[in-house]
Amino acid sequence: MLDSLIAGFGAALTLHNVLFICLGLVIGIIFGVLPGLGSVTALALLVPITFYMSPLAAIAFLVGVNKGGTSGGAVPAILLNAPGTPEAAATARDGHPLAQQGKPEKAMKMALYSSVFGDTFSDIMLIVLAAPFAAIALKFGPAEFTSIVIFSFTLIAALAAQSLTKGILSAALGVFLHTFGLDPVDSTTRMTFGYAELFDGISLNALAIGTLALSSVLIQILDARRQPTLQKTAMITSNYAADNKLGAAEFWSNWRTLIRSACIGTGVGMLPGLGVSLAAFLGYGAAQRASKTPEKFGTGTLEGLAGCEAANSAVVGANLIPTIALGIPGNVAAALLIGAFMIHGVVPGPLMMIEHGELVYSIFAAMLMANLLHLIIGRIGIGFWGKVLLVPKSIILPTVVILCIAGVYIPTNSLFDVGMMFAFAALGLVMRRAGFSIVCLVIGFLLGPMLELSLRQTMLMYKTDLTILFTSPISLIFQLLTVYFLWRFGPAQWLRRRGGN
Amino acid sequence: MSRRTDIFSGLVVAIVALILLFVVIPHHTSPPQSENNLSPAFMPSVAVVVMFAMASILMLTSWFRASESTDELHEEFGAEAHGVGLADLADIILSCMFAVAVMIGFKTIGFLATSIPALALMMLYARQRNLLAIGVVAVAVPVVIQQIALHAFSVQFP
Repeated sequence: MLDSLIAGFGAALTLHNVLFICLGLVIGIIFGVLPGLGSVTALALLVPITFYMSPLAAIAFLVGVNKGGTSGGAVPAILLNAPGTPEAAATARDGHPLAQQGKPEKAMKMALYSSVFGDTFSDIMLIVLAAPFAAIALKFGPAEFTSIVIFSFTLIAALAAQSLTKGILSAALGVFLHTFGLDPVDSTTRMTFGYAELFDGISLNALAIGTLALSSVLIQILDARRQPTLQKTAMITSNYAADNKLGAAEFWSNWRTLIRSACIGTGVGMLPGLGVSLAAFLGYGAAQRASKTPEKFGTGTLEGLAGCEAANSAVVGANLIPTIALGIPGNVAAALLIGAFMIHGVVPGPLMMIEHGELVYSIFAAMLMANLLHLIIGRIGIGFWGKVLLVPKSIILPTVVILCIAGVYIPTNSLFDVGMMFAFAALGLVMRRAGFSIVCLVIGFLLGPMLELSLRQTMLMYKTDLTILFTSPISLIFQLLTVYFLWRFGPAQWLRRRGGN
Repeated sequence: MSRRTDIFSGLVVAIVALILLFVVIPHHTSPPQSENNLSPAFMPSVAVVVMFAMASILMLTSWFRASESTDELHEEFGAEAHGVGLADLADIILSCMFAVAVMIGFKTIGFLATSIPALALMMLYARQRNLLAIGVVAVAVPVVIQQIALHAFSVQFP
């Protein structure tokens, strides 16, 4: 493994790749800093552009965007008490009080260093665990994969969607949308309605950008008309205290919190459906419980800041473990990375380590390089990131709409895909308002091909006798877990709520 | 989430699922190439049946829900997920009209001629009142994007 990693560094350590990682980090941080955008919007917008890059440069660039976007959300949380990303809400609890005490730079430094620590920890876990997990997954057959995908849908629907019913419905819609185009076995047409553009199926770019990025931006533009923002007046830009330094001793005095939160974030990241926000709040809560001074949490402690930032950033690397080992994304950012892999002809899953081992270890090396670059860029830019917040949303959001159009048009030169993106944006808008999970929709769309292929292979191999799903031990375990989660987040929760009412 | 929104959205999804199951999928999916193969309609039908089942459950559970939900904010969307009212339907119609106008603009007068006024209108709608900023951004952004697409990716916008 170490030899492969060293070889990976050899491939990844080029000026070209380093520049793409730096560019990704800067774009990611800027998107993270701007409230309402975040790393998912940035990834959705930028995945199509990577079509023109080499696979390594593309993934390294997107990893930079993801890492930057996750940590960038801390800046508005600290300066404005307005988290740029949902996971930064925990950061605001101690970051903003620190800023109010005249120590915004100290808070941003602590957030950055903790974030890089969590990132590096989870990247190391990814490097250590991906190959053994993939080796285990190689023993799985179609029946096992069918059960794992069904379990993943249930888990994501139960945990990410708030309502199990709506989550499964969204995932089923995603699976249905993937079936447009040519049948994967027969190559006959399915719901192409005479459009040649639909023979390859619905474009992932159109779906991801439309539902994740454009619908979010449109909703903010529409809301901006009703709720004028007051951000600028609340921003802390002056009265800095002299004590804005953060020494190594002061940072490392929180080493227990950092390691604990990084472990929590890594654990959360490894399971599909458990979001970055959950990791941040779990990390913050665990830090508070273990602290000798829990009463100081919420008043501006570095410990609280370390607890949530290390945890939320540790999710980024860890959610690539199921992505690389099983082809199942840990969250929507990993789902978009799967899309990027597919653009370059690399299918994530257990065979990826065998067929593209060199590329995988180069990506691991690029991720470790990205952490170092993140530290440097984040530290240099501390004075600048706050200024990005001064650009009004009324200028940023319409600009992103034009970027969405360009992002879909550039890889395919197709106005049809632009039209599809608008249609999905309308769907996304309705889903957001009605509380249907877009994460489940996108993950359903991405895992649809795997589900269809493994289910059809199972049915062909066992002559449509699906009892194999309950007789194979591994498959049975995942089926039982599926039943448990269906019960726990379905009828049991409904009965509990009724009882509460 | 509003009880009425859940019942209404469940009803709409259930109706759409039935149309897909009995009209769209059978009429727009080819038959299998050989008798041993599963029908290409199998997977879309399974997905739509699941959608119909979930929509029915959503309607029933919302119908028998004792009162309006007082849950905390939606985890994925926060306050955005406040239900679909008339104002939201008006927003959706407005967005669709904007999208149609942009698509027609792209096809007839091209990217630049459409993007510049579209961007300016969106900024005005989002309460930006600095006309100089609107003018500069509305012209600069589409021109820069077009030039990057042309020189970096060799893509010519319509």
